[in-house]
Amino acid sequence: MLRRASELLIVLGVALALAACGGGAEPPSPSGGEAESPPAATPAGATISGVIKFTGTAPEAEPILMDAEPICADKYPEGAFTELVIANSNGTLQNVFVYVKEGLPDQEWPVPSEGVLLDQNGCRYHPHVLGIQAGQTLIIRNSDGILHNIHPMPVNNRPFNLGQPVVMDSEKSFPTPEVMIPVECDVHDWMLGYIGVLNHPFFAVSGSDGSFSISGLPAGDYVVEAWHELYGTQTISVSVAEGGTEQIEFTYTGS
Amino acid sequence: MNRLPFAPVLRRSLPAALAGLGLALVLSALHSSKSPASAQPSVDGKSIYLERCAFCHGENGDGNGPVARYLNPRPRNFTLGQFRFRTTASGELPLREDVITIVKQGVRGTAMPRWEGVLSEAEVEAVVDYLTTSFVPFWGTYDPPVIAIPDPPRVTAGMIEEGAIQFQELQCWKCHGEQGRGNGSSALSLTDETDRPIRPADLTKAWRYKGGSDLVSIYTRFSTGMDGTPMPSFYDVIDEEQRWALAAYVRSLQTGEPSGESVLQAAFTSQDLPTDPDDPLWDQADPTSYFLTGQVIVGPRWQTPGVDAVTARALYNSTNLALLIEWDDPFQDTQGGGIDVLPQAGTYVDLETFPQNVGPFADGLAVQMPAMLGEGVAKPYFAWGQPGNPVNLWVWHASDQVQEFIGTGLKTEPAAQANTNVAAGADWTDGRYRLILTRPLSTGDPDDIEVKPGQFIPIAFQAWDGSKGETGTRLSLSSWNNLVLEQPTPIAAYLYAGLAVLGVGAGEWWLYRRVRS
Amino acid sequence: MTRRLSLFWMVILTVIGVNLLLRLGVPYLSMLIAHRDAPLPVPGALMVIYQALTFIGVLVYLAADERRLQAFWQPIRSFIRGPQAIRTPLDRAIGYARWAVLGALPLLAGWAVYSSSLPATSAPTSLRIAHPTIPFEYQSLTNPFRNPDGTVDPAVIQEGRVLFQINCRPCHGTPANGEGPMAYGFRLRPANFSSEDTIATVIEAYAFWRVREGGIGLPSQGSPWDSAMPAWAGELSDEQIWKIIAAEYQTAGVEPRRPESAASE
Repeated sequence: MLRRASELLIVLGVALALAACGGGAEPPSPSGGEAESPPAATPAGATISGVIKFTGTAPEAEPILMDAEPICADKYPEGAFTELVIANSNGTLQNVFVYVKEGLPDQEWPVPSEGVLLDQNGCRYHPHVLGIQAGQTLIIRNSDGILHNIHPMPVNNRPFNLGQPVVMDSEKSFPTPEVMIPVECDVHDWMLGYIGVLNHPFFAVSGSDGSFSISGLPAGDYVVEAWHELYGTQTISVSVAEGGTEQIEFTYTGS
Repeated sequence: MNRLPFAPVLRRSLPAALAGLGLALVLSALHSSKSPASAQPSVDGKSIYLERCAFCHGENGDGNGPVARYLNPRPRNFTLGQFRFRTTASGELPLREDVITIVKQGVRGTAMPRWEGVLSEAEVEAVVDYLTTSFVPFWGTYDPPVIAIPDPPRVTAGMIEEGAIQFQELQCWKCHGEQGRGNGSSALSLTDETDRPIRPADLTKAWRYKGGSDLVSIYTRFSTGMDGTPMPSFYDVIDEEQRWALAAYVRSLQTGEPSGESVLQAAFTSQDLPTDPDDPLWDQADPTSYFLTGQVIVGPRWQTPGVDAVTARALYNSTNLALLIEWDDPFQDTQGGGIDVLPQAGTYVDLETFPQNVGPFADGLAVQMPAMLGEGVAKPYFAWGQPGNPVNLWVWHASDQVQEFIGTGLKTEPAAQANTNVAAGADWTDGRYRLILTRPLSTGDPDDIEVKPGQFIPIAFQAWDGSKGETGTRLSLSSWNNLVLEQPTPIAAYLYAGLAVLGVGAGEWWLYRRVRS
Repeated sequence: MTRRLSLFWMVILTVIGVNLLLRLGVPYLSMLIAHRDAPLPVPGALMVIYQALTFIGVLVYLAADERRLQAFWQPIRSFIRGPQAIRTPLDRAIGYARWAVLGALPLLAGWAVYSSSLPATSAPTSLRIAHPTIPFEYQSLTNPFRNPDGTVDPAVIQEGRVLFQINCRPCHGTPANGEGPMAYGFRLRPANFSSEDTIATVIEAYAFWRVREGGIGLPSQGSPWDSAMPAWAGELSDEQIWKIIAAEYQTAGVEPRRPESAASE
C-alpha cells in the first residue's frame, strides 16, 4: 500500500498512536461514557490539544423509562437519563467529536489492525460518540445479553441492521469517511450513538474534563472541527510546527 | 360465448369428445382474459417508468410522486438505496433479480401492485434497469454479498417446537408479540428510514406478510433483514437448521385468513347463551372470518384500515341471539372515539399532514343490519345505509359502552335509537379482542328487525383501531355478509329420503326380476 | 394387457372424467389464465349444461348403434343377475360385493335426496348485473377533452392519470385491473377496466354517469346491485371526472365504445 519510504516514520507514529487509542476501548462502566483522549504521541508528530468550553445551561436530562428491560434498569440505581448534553462540572462539554477537517497532506493513512469497540451495556452505547478510521474494524459488543439490534444510518456508507439477541460480538467496518453516522437500536428507542468515520487517524472525543488531544500530526496548517450532537459544529484554523504542540479552545454557548 | 362443437365430435369417438370439451373450455377461458399490455410493442424503460411508476415513486425516483402523500407505507425512495426485499446481506443493495421479483409480484398490503401479467417480462426488466441505474446510489459498483437460500426441508412438528424456542431466544416477541400479533413492548416506538412510524407485522395474518408468507420467504426476511425498517438480520446468530425451524414456527402462527364464505351460521342451543368467550358452548358455532377494508366511500377517505379482518361466531336459543366477534388489535385504547362524521378535507386522508399521534380514540366495533327487512325492501348501501333505506348499528366502544344507532349513510351522523337492546361484554388479551354481543330475537322495538330462523339477514362489521387514528368515519368496514339462524331439519327431508330409498330399491328388484326371467 | 376396455367402463370413465375436468380442471385453469390465487367462480347453471351435454352425448353415442347398446348393457345385466355358480373364494367375494353395491344404491339415493332437501345455507348470490340503462340526461354527453379523432392531449391524460391514481387506484388498482389494495375487502370486486367487458363496452358518458352517481345512483329496477362504488359528484368536478375517464381508458389499454350517432356517420 505504501510506496514512499519517506512516509515510514509518520506511519509508525500513527500506528502507535492508534494502537494506544484502541487500547482504551475496554468496556467502560455503565454510568460513564467517558471516552479517553488519545495519549501523547510520538516525538516526531505535532499535537493539537485543547478543551471544549461550555458557557450555557444544559437542557435537563430526561429520565429514560427502562421498565421493559429490568436487566438494563437495574444498572441504574438512581435512574437512567438521556445523554444529549453532558456538561462537566469544570464548565466544559463532554462527547464532542474533534477532528482535522482540512489541511492534511494528500496521502493514505494506514488502517490500524486493531478494532474499535462499541459496547451495548445497560441499554446504552459506550462510548456514546466514537471515532474510527475508514476500513477499520468496528467491534460491536452486546454485554447485556438481551436483544439489541445495531442499526447505523449512514448516508455515504451502506447501512446495516444486525440482531444481537445474546452476549456476543459482531464485526463491521465503514469504507467511506462520514461525520457523523447515527446509530440506533430499534428495540430500545432511547438508545442513540454516533460514529465519526475518517480516512485518517487525527480525531478525538472530549472526555469528562472536556479536554481532547490529537497527536502525531505532520507540521502544517489545519482546519479543526468540533461536532456536538445538539449544538452543531465549529471550526478553528491552527498551524503546528514539526513536533510542536498547539492549544485551541472551542466554546459552546448552549444556543 | 360457450358454443361447444359437442355433438359432431362425440359421434366420432368418446376420447376425442373429451379432448374437444377440454379444448373448448380452455379456449373460452383464454378468450375472456386477454392481456391489455400485449398490445404495446416498444420496450423503453424510461417511458414505462414515467407512465406507470412516477406518480408514486416520483420522476426522480425519490418516492415523492403526487400520489405518495396518500400512501402508507410510502413508495420506495430509490435514491436512498435501501430495499426491504432482498437476497443479499443486511444493508447491501439488492440483486437485479430481487427488484424484478418485487416488480412482478408486488408488495401485499401496500399500494405496490403486481405487474406480472400487466407488463411483459421484457418491460419489467427494462423498467427495473432504468430505475436502478438512474436512481440507486452505488448501483453496479460492486457485487453485493448474497445470502444463499438452500432448499427448504419438510416441516415436522419437532421443527416447529425448535422454532418456538428460537422465537423466544432471538426475542422476536419484543416487537412481534408473544403470540405474533405485532404487539411487542417495542412495537409502538418503531420508525422507518424516513422516521415515520412503522409497525411490526402481525405474524398470525398470512396476508399481511409483505414479502410472502411461505417458508422460504420467511427464512429470507429474517436472514437478510428488511433494510429501511427496524427488522434486523439474524443470519449470523443461528445456524441453518435453526433458521428453518424458526421459519416453520412463524408459518405455524398463520391462522384465520377469511375464506370468502359470506354466511355466518348461528347454531341453536337449548341452554343459556354464554357470556364468557371461553365457554365451550362456542365450539358448537362454526367461526367465519371476514375481511375489512378502509372506508373509501366518502371523503376524507381512509386507505390504511387498522382492522383488516374479524372472526365471528353466532349462537341462539329460543329467546336470544349472541355473537362472539374476535379481531386483532395490538394495543388497547379505551379513551375517546366516536361515530361522528369527520369534516370533509380532500378526497382522501393526507397521510403527510395527518397527525401521527391523534386521539386518544377508543377501539370499537359495530355490527350492522338493515333497519327494515322483507319482500320488496332493497338491501341498504353497505356503508351505514343510505337516506330512505337505513341500517341498524350496534356500536360498541372499548370504554365498554354499547349503543344502537340508525345509520343513513356516511354523510350523516347516525342517530341514537331510543332504546338499546344489545348487551356487550369484551375481553382484550395479548393483542386480541373478544367481544360478545347479545340481543333478543324479537325486541318489540320498531327500530330493530326481528331475527327469525332460516332467514338470510344481511350483516356487516365495522371496526376502529384507536391507536391507528381511527374514529368516526375514519374506520375499517366489511361488505354485506349474511347471518342465518340454522333451522332444525324439516320432517319432509326424512320423508323424501325414505321414498327415494324405497323407489330405488323397488327399481333394482324389478330389474333383477326382468334379467332373471 | 392389450385388451380394450369394455364399453361400459369407457362410458363410466368418460362421465367421471368430464366431471373431474369441470370441477377441478376448469377452476384450476381459470387460476392459471387469470393469474389469480383463487379460481374464478364457474356459474352453477353452466356446470349443469356441460354435464347435461355430456350425458346426452353419451346417450346419443350408445343409442346410435344397437350392438353398442347391447355391449353397454351386458355388464349391467350380468351384474344384476349375479354369478351363475360359485366355484372359488373370489366368486364368493364378488358375490358379497354385489350385494353390498345393490344395498348401497338405494341408501345413496336416500342420502342425496335428504341432503338436497335440507334448508339451504348458501348465501343469496350477488352477481354483477350487466350494464343497466344510462339515464337520459347522461346519454348525449361527450368527453370535452377528447378530440374528434379520438385522441386526448397528453397533458390532460397526465393530469387524469394522477387523479385516477389518487382517487380510484385504492380499489381499481394502479394498472386499472380491479386489484387495488382495498379490493380484497369487497365481496363484489371492483371492476377490472382492462377486461373486455367493462368500460370497453360502454360510451364515455356511461362511465361518467357511474363515477358521478356511484352504487347508490343505480336505478332501483334490477336491484340488489351490491355495488360499493362511491358517488363522486360534489367531491370531484365534472372536468376532473372527464380527465380521469380519459386516463382510465388509456391506463387500462382499452377504447371507449363510440356513441351510436358518431358510429353511424
